[in-house]
Amino acid sequence: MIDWVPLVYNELLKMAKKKRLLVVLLIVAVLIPVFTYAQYRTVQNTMEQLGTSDWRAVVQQQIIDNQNRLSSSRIPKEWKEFIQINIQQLQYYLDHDINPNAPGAPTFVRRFVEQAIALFLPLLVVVVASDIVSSEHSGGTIKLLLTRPVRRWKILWSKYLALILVVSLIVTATALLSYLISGLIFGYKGWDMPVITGFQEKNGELITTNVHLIPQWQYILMAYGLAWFTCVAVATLSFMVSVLVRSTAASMGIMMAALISGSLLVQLAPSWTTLKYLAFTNLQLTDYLSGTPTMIEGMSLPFSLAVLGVWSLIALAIAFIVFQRRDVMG
Amino acid sequence: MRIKGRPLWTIVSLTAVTSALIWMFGFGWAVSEITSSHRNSLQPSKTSQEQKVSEQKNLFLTMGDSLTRGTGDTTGLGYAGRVRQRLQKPSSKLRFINLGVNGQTSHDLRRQLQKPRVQEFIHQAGWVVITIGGNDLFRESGRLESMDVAKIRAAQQQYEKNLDAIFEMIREQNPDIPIFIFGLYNPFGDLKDSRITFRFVREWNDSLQEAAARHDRVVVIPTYDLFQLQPGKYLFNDHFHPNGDGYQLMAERLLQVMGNVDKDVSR
Repeated sequence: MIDWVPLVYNELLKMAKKKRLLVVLLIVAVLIPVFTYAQYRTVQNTMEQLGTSDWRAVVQQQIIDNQNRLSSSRIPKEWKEFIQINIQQLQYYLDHDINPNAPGAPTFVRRFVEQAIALFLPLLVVVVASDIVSSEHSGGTIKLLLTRPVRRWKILWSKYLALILVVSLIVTATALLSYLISGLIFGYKGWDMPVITGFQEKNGELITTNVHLIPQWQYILMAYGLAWFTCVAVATLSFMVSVLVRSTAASMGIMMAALISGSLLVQLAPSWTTLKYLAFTNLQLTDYLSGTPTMIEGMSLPFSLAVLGVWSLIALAIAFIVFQRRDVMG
Repeated sequence: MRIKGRPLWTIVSLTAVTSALIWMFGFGWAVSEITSSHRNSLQPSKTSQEQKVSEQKNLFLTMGDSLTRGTGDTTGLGYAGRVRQRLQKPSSKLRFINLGVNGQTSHDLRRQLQKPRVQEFIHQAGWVVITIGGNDLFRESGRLESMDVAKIRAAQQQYEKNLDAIFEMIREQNPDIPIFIFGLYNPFGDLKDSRITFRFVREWNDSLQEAAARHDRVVVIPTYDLFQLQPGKYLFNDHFHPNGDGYQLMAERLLQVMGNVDKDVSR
């Protein structure tokens, strides 16, 4: 019954022993100090500019700056609504005396995943996922693999499960590394700090009826859970590409181009609402947790999950059908 | 097949499985958290706000319209930034907050002053500097070519009323700090019909003086003369806002009337 466990373990070992995973972890370990320092500089800079460490003054200044951006006539309408909701949200923080950017490593961990979920984490996932099948082709080991007395779909399934496990490892490593490294500067405290969640947006208005406070550790757990789902969806799509394309470089290129153009398109054409049916415009799941307004109208968590889910299922189906029928002897 | 491997790989696999389960759980929690509705249990917490109010009046607060924002200054400083550059020293405890909003009218400023946070800033302020009225005069009362005298008069009365209210609201929070307000200037002094525009600016400045005189320690800093002879020299390309040199002149005037700041802070 559990004959797939050794298969998955075998695939996991194959992935773990490659340099690729190590490189990904190294990228994370190198970049997080950079981000930490950047965050530190930003905080120092605002403190210098205002001559105060009082976060209320900082938030008030943010509101004013946003109001000034609103009055510029060169901003598209969608951006204006976005900014207006942002202002309302900042005002809410002020009125309820909640510091949105309290110092501490947990805050950095939270803010980091909110920023990394759309591009940084998916790119890391693509690096490990895009060669999972194609490398067997380029290495020629696919023939050896398929001559084993195991059904083809089982092999592919075990590869997929191993991939999910590796993705989970990457998410965990990101969370752990960002906590450990940023704590050196910001201190390791702040798990219990209250974080606000439950902001909703309806027709350009901020709805605060569901707003409530949760401890930060809970928020982080949920945010990384959402990031994990995003990463799994991206991994599934690159899994399909890896089956379809025999060259690792090509499959990695395809996925990266898709990821980057997805995030670019939203910035360029927020009024083109059809974009919301693309998988790569729905990656920013943590926005629903923090209440950051989405750029494209009419997006919600169930919607984004449905879009990502449908894309993933289709990708899986294509991957299995193609892999099952492919002639590898040629 | 059987699982055979070094302990390291067993640990790696176990970690992977565990983290997958944890994140799956986190994901499920997040979905139920976002989709379910919660009762709004947040109450404004006033207590910590009141504790935080610093008694030291060391805040340099600037409010008003685009002149306070610094529009037209290519360095982005405006008079506020220039004054700050002059006054800010590493040792001093001065704080600077700029609440200027582009396009703000005296009516908008009145509304801004009603916000609790803004009132608290005024409470902490050692100096309040205001620019207001340019938008009331040149935008609200119609376009220049078709200046409707009746409309301008009405706007002027409203302006004076708003100023009174603004000074009063500041005094409520902070009874004895000095309030500096810049007078209005005529950006259209080198166009034809400048006699008319000069007249209106003068009349509005009279209103400003009158309103200021009704309150204690309100100082009007004239700018009328600065831009009178050579508007082009000190105005930005938009022919409405001052340029860097214009803001520099305003900053110098403000510094002159503010007197010795360091002495006041250490007080």
